[in-house]
Amino acid sequence: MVAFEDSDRQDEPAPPDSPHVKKFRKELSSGLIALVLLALLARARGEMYGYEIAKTLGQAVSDAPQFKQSALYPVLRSLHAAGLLESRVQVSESGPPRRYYRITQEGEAALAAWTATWRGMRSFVDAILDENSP
Amino acid sequence: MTIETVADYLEALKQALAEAPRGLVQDALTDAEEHLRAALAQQPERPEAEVLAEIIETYGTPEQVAAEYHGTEAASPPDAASRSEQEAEDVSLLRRFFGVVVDRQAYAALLYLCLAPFSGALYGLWVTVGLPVSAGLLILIIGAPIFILFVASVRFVSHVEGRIVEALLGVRMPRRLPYAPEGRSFLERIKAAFTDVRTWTAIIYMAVLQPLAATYWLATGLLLFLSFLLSVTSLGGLFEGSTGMVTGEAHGNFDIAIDGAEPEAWLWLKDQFLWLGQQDMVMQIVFVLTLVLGVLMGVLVLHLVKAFGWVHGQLAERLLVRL
Repeated sequence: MVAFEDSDRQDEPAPPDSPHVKKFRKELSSGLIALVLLALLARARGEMYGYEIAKTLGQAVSDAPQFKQSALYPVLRSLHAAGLLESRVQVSESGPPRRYYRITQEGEAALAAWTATWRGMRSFVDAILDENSP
Repeated sequence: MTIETVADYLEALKQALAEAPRGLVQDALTDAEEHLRAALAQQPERPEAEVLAEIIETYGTPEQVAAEYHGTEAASPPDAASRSEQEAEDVSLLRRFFGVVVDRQAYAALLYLCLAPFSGALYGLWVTVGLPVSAGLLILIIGAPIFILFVASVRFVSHVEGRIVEALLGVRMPRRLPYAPEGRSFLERIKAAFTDVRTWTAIIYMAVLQPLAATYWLATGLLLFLSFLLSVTSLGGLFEGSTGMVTGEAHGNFDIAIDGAEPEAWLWLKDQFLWLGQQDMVMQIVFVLTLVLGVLMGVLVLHLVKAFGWVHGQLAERLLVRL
């Protein structure tokens, strides 16, 4: 049976650089990066600039980061455009001028709502996945 | 291509984004430059190529970054553009012609055309006065900061105009100001401003916006006037005819009386004559046709405005986006 040729190895995870994994990761991360950024800026209780945010995220997780740092910048900009972040540019003494971001009240409200959505979604997905595992 | 400097990386990123809208490319380049330089500044003692290799590991290769920006952009296209793409799926010719009446983009372009003469006048004044004055003062020491200020103002205005163009004309323009390296001397900055072709194209844009707006308005205004004239005259004609019918005061102003008395049958006949007399059928048909023509021309005005919006958007993208 040609159609079921692969069935004996269906439980092996696909390699992390396979197109399926990449696509799925991309779809997942598009909304989650925004959530992570809002959470990080809410926790910071102040301003952070792009590189600082990227570095903090890199240090926060010990295993391989889930996305490239370049992904942060467009999301920061769209959060800013949506009014969830405010920003200002400051000339830095060492290096290029930096754009500092700070979470707005609207951003705090969005973060609370998004967190609830994420938790609900996660437990739903986990429940389904747990049913599948033996 | 091996990447040893930030400039190499930016060049590779630019190539990877060759197909993307110029505004997006500029944003991606600005983000990358800010990030790479900030990361490099953390380890000034190590060789640039070595540190850069590590940074690329976490920031992403130019190809990965290009894919990232393409993906994010698909989720946040310019407002007007996303709508017009949906509308483009409507293939019916009639719907496409009349669809413009409810097309948000046509009215946004109209709003832009209304703004353009004023913004064009301001920009024009600014460059025609600012450029000669600041360039003329360059021979004095005090002229340098003034010239740099002028160039900075041109860049800022380009950015603001870019935001207006994206909002109203739906062309993806830069969403943040371009990266400007710090710590350069006045002479370096003036040299950079002079040799940057975008400085000059932005100045040209600012100088020609008003004449361009005038040209757009000449064509639009002429068509609009014709449409208005046709519609009003034919409406007037039709309206006059119909009120005539109701009140009996028609163009055919005739009266028949026999010995001062008007018998019942005659009155009835007279009514019929009056009605017939007002039925200037040919004129009525002509009025209806001209009214239709006037309305069609009105719709055509919106198409013309939308077309001008598109042309102007392309022009703004070419002249204002710095790559």
